[in-house]
Amino acid sequence: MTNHTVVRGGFTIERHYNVPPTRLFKAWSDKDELAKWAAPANNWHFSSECFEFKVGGREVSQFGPQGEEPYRVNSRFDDIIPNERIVTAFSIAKGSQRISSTVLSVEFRPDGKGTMLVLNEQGVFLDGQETPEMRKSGTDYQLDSLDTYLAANAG
Amino acid sequence: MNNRSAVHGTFDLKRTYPSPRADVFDAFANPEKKRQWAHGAPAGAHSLDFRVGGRESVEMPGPGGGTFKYEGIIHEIVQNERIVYSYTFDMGGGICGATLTTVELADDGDGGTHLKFTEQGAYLDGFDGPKFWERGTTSLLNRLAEHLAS
Repeated sequence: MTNHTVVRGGFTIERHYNVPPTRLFKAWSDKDELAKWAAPANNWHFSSECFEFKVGGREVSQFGPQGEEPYRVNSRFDDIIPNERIVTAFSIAKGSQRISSTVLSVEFRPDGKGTMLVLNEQGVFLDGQETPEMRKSGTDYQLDSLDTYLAANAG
Repeated sequence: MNNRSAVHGTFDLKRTYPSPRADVFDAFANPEKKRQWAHGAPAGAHSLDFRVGGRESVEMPGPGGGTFKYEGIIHEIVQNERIVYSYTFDMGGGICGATLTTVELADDGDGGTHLKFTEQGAYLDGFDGPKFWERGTTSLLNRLAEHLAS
C-alpha cells in the first residue's frame, strides 16, 4: 500500500491591477483569455476543454510543460457574482496520481481607478505531490502573467 | 445588495468511534446511510454518486420556509482511508459557503477508528462563517456516532 499523506494549507494574495473590475472579471471568466495568462510556469501551456461558466458548471482544463503528460484540473464553479467574485472547488491530477483538492475564491474590489484582487486558496495537498508553498509560487507567477497580459490587452 | 464579503476559515475535529474503519467509511459511501445520518433528508430529496467526480445533492424545505440546497462533489477516495469532497450550502437566500471537507480514517489499535475531519472554506456575505460551520459539524459527528452505535 502506498503511504497516503495529507497536508493542509492555504494562502491569501492581494494585488492591485490598473484595470476596472469588469475587465479583470472578463480575464477570469473567458476561457480564451485564461489560456493566454493562466499557465503557472514559464513556457507551460494552459487550455480548457470544458468551461461552463455558471454556478454549478464544470471546468476541465490541462496545463504543463510542452510534450509532457499534462496536469488535469476538474473544477466546479461554486459561486459567481459578476464583476465581484468567483468561487471554485477543484482537484488537480496527473494521470492517476492525485495532487490536490482546493477551494479558490477570487474577489474583485474597486480600488481607485483600478481593482484590488483578493485571492484565497486553501485545501489539501496529497501524498507528497505538492505543497501549499509551491501552489502559492505558481499562483504568484499567474498573477504576474495576468498583469503583463492586461497591459497588452487593456480593452 | 452590495455588501459582499468572503471570510476564510478552517478547523479540524477529531473523534474516535468504536466501529471498524470499514463501517465508518461505509457511513460516508452508502447513499442510504449518508442520507439518514448526515442530512436527515426524506427519501427522494437526496442523491449521492459515490465515486471521484460524482455528485451529492440535497434539496428540501428549509427551517425558514425557503429551499435548503446542498450541492457537493467528490474529489478523492481511498477505500477505508480517506475521502475529500467539496460542497456549497444555500439556506434559501443564496450560496453562503463553499467548503472542502477531508475525512481521514485510521485504526485506533483497539478495533475502533480515529476520524480526523477538516473543513476549509470560503464563508460568504456576512454569514456566521466558520463558527456556524464548526457547530454544525460537531453536531454532524455526534449524529455519526449515534448512527454507528445503532
